[in-house]
Amino acid sequence: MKSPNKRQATILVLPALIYLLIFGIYPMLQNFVLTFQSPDINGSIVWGISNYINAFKIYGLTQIFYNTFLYTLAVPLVDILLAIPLATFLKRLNKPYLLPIVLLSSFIPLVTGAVMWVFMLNPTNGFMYYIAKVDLFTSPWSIVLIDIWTSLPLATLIIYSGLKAIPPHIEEAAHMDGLIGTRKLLQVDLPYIKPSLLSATVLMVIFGSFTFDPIYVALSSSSPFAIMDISYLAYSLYETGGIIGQGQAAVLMTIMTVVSTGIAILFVRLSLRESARSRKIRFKFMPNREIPRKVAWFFVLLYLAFILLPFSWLVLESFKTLSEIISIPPVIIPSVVTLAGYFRSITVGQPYFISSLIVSLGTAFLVFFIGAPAAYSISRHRTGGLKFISLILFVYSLPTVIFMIPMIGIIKSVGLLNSWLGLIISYPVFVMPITIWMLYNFYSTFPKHLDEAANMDGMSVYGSFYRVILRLSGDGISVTLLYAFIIAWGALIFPLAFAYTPFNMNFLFPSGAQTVTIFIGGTIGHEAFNYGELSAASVISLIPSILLIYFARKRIDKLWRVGGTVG
Amino acid sequence: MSSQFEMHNIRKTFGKFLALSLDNLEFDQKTYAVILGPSGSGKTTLLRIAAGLESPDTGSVVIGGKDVTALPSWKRSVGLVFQNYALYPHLTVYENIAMPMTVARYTNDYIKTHVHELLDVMELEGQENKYPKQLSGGQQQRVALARALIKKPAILLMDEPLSNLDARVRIDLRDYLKETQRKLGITAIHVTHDQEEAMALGDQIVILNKALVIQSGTPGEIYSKPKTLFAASFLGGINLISSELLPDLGIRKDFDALGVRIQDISLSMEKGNTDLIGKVINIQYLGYQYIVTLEFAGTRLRVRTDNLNGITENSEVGLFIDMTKIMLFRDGNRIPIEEEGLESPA
Ligand SMILES: Nc1ncnc2c1ncn2[C@@H]1O[C@H](COP(=O)(O)OP(=O)(O)OP(=O)(O)O)[C@@H](O)[C@H]1O
Ligand SMILES: [Mg+2]
Repeated sequence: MKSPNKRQATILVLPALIYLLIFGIYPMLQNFVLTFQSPDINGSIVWGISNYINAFKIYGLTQIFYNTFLYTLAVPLVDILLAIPLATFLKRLNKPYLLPIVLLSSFIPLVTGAVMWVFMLNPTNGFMYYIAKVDLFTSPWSIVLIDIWTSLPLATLIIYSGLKAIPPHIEEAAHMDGLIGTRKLLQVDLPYIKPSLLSATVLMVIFGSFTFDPIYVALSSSSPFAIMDISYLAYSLYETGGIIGQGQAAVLMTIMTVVSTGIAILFVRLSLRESARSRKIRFKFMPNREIPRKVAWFFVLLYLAFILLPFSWLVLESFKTLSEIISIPPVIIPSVVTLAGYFRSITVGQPYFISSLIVSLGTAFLVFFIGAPAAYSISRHRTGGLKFISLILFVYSLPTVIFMIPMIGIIKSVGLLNSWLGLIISYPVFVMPITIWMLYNFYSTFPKHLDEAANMDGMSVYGSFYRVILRLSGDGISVTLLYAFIIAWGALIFPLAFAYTPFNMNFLFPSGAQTVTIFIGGTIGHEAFNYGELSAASVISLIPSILLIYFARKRIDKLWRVGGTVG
Repeated sequence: MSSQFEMHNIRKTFGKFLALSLDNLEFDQKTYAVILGPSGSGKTTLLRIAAGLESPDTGSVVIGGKDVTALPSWKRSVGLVFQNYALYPHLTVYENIAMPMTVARYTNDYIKTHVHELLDVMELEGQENKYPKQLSGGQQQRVALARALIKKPAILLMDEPLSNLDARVRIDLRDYLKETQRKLGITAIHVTHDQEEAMALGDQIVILNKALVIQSGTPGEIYSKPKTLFAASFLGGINLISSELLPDLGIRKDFDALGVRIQDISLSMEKGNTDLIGKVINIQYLGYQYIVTLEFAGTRLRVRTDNLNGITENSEVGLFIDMTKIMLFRDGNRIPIEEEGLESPA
């Protein structure tokens, strides 16, 4: 027998559960079915394994596998190696304004970030001209570079949050024992924040293995097979290969699903369970000295230069006149400041900006209405035990591209292709898991006596959630919603697949839903593409991210605190 | 004996708030010193300054004749036991205890011998591969103690080391702490707000209140000759009666309050010639003694007695105060009757 409280708690997770089953789990299975379907000479569907055979005959597959492998391994490895010192320096310097600046590149649309790098690394018109006149985009390491730039701040944030959460008495015990500096970091801090380190690593693995947006942007200035990975290949097979391509794409997506499932299991294990203790290495020869503040400053400034350089270049570009943009050698500081780029991008880009705004708002609210009750219910009432939260983390670790083909079927069947609503109902599959996870951790730290009091006052689970908890979780929810908005704002794969025209600017009979990411990512290198307009549009696309970081700057490290609050 | 630990002219403020101010504090070698005071009195602050976790605004800390005020914690020859133990959760018992030594770069064999020595003393043999959370509170406390002692510090500092334990374990560990201190022959400074603990353990007790030292001395001195009303009442077991409520006792009259310990009043159903009559409100049986609560002249008094002699709740009884043991207080300070005598000053 279930108590009414249990039943109500279950009802709170139902919408999220149903959504994830339809939009997350069904596509995964559907892909698998598609792998066995291919057309015969007459165009009718036959069942067989020819897709598997043909998929492995695709030209350049070795390079593509190599690239995927590289992105999946190099990105997390370098990220973690760079993030640990950065987080340590940030903690040592203890300047509250540094963190938000460092975080910038992780919270902007991936497409915008990629555009910055393509501009900057251009060996004739970009800043690269002054460093070495080589084209980096002939090598997959260019994508690794962009990926690291994009994900390093997030890894740093997770590790920094962990470091900040080390209780003062442990810090003081270490001080009494004479442990300081690097020695303390290795012997006390890092083992203590192991859950954060593991989460950061797995998140970076997922991030690296998904790489899509920078490839999409950089392909305009690169040879096709140099940088492509499986994610992108699957997309382009589907995009250009008709029904044959679809079957082969499904094969690749199924492979990705299997690999991601492996990663997901790892993620769930590591995030939810205490990992086995391993033997400690002795760090006898590590310097037992505090890093001098000057040295810490030096390195932090280096990191800041790395993170901010592409931003600066983009902003400079956006104010340049066309002749200065294309001049060789490139002009660094514009001699004449023009707003032409901004005017043009606002006029031309208007339908794209409107679509992105509406779709992102819609997604954020949908995610809020479905996700917040679920997060509350699983965190406070342990609904579904570990199963539900595991499902969330599982869906989170699936590459977005694998949902694409089956979802087109779903959206088409309800007549919502190429519409705002079509995007709004599909986006939560990649937005909701992370928001539920964040809110889950947020509610885990929420004082328990609040709902107990509400319960004593005779409120039901709904009552205590809607009338007490929601009102008090304003800060957690607003930051999470803003983050949801930003993920939606930066989405690329779904709008590429589900929308094919810009908004027709008719609010009574809207049609078309191409987003600002397509406007930015799709125009680069195409037809009459205009650097000034593009860079201005890219700058505009940063606004929501800057707002998020500004509003969340004080509590941002608490929202990404993982591991410690779990279980 | 030489003074092993000294603090001179220490002042510590947090913003405008004065957390500790003391002129002079000295403990001899092999002393078990207890710092006693209510919450917020500055005990932890004192200890943290001694440990080097906090630096004083002014003043100096001297350990073993050497001024250590400017030295970092690990160079001061002090060991600290934290109130919540502060064991490293990711390290085993062995590794926790060994940590201060591994930092100091001793050889593994040397460390091993010493850790096992301490495991033996702390009765922790067999637990060395467990993690802190697999231990009971009392065991964790002993690990914390071992870690503080491993480098053979001159001074062992303990901040409310027993307050997180339940009553039985607390009494056991209390004996254990003192034995260990004696066995190792070191100077211990133990902070507590529990007067019974202080009396039981201290060779020397320092009473703090509102950032100031109220009194310092042996438990006997402090008990029988509290300098102030605060010290007397904080040590407990005493009845304080405002002079206005008292009938003429035939003694000097220039006091505000009279203090009499709970065992220095006797009760009798025979009222005899006393003017002091109380009504019994409540009788508590402690197993070997009784605590009788009385209403007397509008206040409550407590009396400890070995047998009731027929006294029951609600009975009216005569109170007989042992006049040789009373204390008199004026303006919050005790009148030193040892010198002046009970009779009114001439
Ligand atoms: N870091 C700090 N910042 C500001 N005020 C502080 C700080 N540490 C202590 N105080 C204040 O100094 C006073 C003395 O604190 P302390 O911790 O020494 O008290 P305590 O005697 O140990 O009390 P307790 O028995 O509650 O532990 C308190 O009023 C406390 O609020
Ligand atoms: Mg204290």
